[in-house]
Amino acid sequence: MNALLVLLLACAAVVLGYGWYARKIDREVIQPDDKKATPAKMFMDGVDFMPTNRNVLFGYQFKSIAALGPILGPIVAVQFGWLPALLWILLGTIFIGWVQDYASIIVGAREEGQTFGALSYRLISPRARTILLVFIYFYLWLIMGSFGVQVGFNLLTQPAVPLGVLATILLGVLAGQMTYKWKQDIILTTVVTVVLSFVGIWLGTLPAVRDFFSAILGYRMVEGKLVSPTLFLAVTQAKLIGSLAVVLICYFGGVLPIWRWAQPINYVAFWIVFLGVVGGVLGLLIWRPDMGDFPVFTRFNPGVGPLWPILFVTVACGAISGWHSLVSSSGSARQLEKETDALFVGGGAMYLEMFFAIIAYLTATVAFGGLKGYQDAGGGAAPASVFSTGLATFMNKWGLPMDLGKAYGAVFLTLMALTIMYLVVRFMRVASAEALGDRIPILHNVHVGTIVALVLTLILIWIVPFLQIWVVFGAANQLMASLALLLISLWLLSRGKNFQWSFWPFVFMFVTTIAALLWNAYSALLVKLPQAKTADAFAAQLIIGIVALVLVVAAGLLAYDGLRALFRARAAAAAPAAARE
Amino acid sequence: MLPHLISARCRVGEQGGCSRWGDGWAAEGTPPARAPGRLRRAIRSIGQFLFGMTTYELAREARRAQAELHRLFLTLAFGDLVGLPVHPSPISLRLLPYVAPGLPGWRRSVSRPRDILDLCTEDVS
Repeated sequence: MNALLVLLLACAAVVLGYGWYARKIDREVIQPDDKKATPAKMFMDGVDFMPTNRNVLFGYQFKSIAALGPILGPIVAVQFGWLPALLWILLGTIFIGWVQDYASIIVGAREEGQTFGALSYRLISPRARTILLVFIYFYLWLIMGSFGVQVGFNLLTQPAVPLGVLATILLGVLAGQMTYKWKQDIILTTVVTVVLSFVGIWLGTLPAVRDFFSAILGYRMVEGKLVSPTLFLAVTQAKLIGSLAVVLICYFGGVLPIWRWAQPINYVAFWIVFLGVVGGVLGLLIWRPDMGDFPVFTRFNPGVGPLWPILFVTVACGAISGWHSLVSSSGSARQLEKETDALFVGGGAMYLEMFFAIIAYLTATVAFGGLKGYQDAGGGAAPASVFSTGLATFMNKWGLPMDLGKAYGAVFLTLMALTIMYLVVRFMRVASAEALGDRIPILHNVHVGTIVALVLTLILIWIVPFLQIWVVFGAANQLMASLALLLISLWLLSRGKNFQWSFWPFVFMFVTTIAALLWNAYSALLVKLPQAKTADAFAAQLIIGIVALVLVVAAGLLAYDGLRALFRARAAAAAPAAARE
Repeated sequence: MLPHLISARCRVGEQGGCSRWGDGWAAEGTPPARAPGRLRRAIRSIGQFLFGMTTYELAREARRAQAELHRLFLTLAFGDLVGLPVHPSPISLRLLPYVAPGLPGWRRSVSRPRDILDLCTEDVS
């Protein structure tokens, strides 16, 4: 299979899925009406509620939903072979992914910009909102763990990477100072900070700088390989420094004002990521590689778990993601200028994310010439390394040196992960203060709430293997998507509209993700736990098993309340019809 | 606050404020006299898309900071309008004609119920 053919298939998916199916649903079921006032117009406050041009909003929506999920997910999922992962990315987006994103915007826009928390309180039950919050807290913790492992253990432990990351962060802070305090022109700020960031990435690849960071990370040459001494558990000196660096960066992101740290760094990081994607695609188009001996299908259980349900949760945001529903309902829905923009913004951004996932998928399947190359680069256990090497291979085709490309790819991924991690830490801090602040008042303290979130993160990073965190994170993510689909179905029913197009995706996602979580809980508590020989392995299986069970219980309660509300609404809708007959 | 970031990025509305997040970088300068061609429209759309992914969030943050100061000022001066025990001063009454057009928006803004999931829009502060 050639890479260009894969891209053509993705284009065909857009034509069929967006051009035909999505438009049909939009036209015949939702029937958007430009004469209806959107929340942006009704409640315009100049900030959160603000009518926004649809192209601008499309960019905002895409930036908000595209993170590490669509990159790492497909790379983990190709362990099953190239065909299952490709099929799920395409079909998942066509039948489920866009449905959730688009419908979340529509529901938000028609319900005066209410969030899913408020809607679940009203449409499902009062306790639904509390359960949703607990669920989201665990989900965010898993995001922190999975992204933290990749950044702290796989990316920052490469001696050529830390300087590039450090330079970009410091230049991001400078960008904030230039923009908000010195009131400099944004184009000047962008050029200065982005160019200097690239210089920082290049300097990081110089032998003297690499030797310097190698010494800090404790690397020594043993039998031709760089090895860092193990300090405790399975944590080497390099991994300890990498994970502590992640935590420290996130701490600043958690406690400093958003304009001082998270936002300007994200701004500079965006350009690095954007130019990386452009460079990668350019290399891919020049090279036009095929998949070599990468198998169509490896086996039903390649080690990460059985094809069903595990494949459907490992791809994560490349096909569907629960996070999108939160961003869509409380962000984009409040800025929609016209109802007819919703499909372009919600559906369009999801299809663009599908392309993003396809690029990541291709780095794993075509860049290494086959399965062995993919496994040698780290395979499913180190998808960040696979991506950075794959991207470097693509960019090498138009002349970028491989060493520089690898460092660039690693900095690219680190920044993408950090972009989300700042916001997650801030959310966890606020959520813990809201949930437990009355009983434990110290949690209202910004530093305490942030430190609690980061200590929990470190436990996951140090103890639990990445693949286990990733699968449970993927399941939590998809489960949240299925709960959003349930809420959307309820809303459609309450409006007397056809709800089958969101209800059956809900059923499929709910059954699949609950099965994935139960499989994980079984595997952790009943298979791996009794075999654990060390205290940390025991703790890891206990944590993963318990988290999976908590998520199952929370989702079960939400689904129970939701289905009861659904049947109530159906009965209420049927009663007047029966009375008329 | 930060008019250099805010005003250039939004189309100016009837009352001199920003009534709609508009055309991003492409909007700078005077609007075109005639309908743009297909190529120009495409370039403008790409510019707007990139603006949405990058500077839009910075401009929103600037507007948010501006709105917070404005809200604080109005609360101190006209808090009695939303039930706060703020005694209106003669200065408030003299300011009233100038701030009256923005009062409905301010009342909506301060009385809007907020949910923790509002924080998912990247403005977790």
